[in-house]
Amino acid sequence: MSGSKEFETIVYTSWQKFHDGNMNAIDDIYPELMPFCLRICSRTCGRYIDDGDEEASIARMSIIEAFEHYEPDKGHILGYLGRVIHNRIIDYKRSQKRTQMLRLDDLNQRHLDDEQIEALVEEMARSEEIKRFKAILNSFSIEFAELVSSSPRQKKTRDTAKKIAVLIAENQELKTYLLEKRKLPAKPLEEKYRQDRKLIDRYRKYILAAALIRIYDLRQLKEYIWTNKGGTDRG
Amino acid sequence: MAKARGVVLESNNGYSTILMEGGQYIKINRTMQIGQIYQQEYQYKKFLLAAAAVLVFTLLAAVDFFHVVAYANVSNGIEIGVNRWNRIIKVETLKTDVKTSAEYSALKGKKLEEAVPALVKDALPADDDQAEVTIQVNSGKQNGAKLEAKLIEKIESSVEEEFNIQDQGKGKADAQDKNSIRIKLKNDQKEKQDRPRDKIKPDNENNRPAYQAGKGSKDKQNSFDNKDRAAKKGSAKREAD
Repeated sequence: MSGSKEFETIVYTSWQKFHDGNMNAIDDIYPELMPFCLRICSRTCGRYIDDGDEEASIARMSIIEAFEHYEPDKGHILGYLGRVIHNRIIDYKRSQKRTQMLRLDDLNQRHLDDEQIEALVEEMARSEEIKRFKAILNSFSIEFAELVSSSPRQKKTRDTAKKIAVLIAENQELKTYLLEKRKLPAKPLEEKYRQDRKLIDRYRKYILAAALIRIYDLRQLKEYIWTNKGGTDRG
Repeated sequence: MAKARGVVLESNNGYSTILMEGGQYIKINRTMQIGQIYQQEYQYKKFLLAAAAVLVFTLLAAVDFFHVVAYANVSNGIEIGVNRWNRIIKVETLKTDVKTSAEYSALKGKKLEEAVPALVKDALPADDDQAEVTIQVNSGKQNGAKLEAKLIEKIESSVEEEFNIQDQGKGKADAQDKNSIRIKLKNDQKEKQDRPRDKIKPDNENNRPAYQAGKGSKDKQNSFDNKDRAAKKGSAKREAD
């Protein structure tokens, strides 16, 4: 859960600066914080919330409110911020039905807990890693959709393909070849390391993607590819 | 309930690309958020459908296996039912002085060409050199003539193998009765009237059992009459000797 901790630290540091009188602290952290806030809105409303939606405006106002009223004894700052946004969205929904606005003191009675907030922050960290992975794949002219068709259906074949990816990532010669020439070192793999050429050619994109995840140390995605749970086997 | 997990890589136009645990990439018909965890329910439906398909196929195969497509009536009163793979699935005795159906139960499941020699041997009386056996094949199907001809061919070749029949011993089938064959262990008297009669044993090279495809008995009485004539001829021969 290192992603959430890092993010928590960043936000807490910004709060400290704000608390010390730096009014630009919120502006500085706004680009990182807004996606988190939009996800809270989405979870609360049960639908996708865009930056242009009314709920997004409520989230922006909630950031200022949370930064003004937060104290360390009230728990993690992200959890506090999440609860503030959650409740303000509910208040907004209720005001549309002409009911009373709830006070900040009522936050503890709400359903959105720290665990959910942490899960949300983890999700955001994963999202950032996925965006990075997408950019890396695009530099090799690979789309995510192509990985679906290039994915071996049999577990045994997938395991063999993953082993080849590990071999590439951990071998300096092969890794350099891949990063410089932007393609799989198929010939050295076949001749020097006696790997099945047919398999390499057939699942080229899959092997390449797995090797890149390892080379660029995309930890969250690495956990999904190299896990013993096996996933699903088709065919 | 077993659940596989995955992470959403991209989502647009109602589809999402997921990276599942184990490294497989899949596509689902759902809009989700990038980075969101996806939990796949165990594919009970697919498993049940597959199991149902296997069950239906097995049942159909069983029904088909035990479906009689043709009957072969041996002149000694044995009737055997044959399925589309030429395997015996039914044995009935129509006379009381032959082996019972239970005694022939070992033939069930065997191919027709494996069982016919045994049936012919049982049908031929040990004390009658001129005995003959008629096997008539009937298919209840509309275009059964082809099937009948095919089965006759199989019976012919299995009897030939067992009893060393020479090609010149074959007669031509009567056009009207192509669905039956008559098996004789001795040369036909009409063809070789002047030659001394030889005692023919199936495993002696002088004994060339001959058979001819001739008029098949439309009813069993016809073939029983032939047997009586053969028996009379046999007794006449013994007197001569």
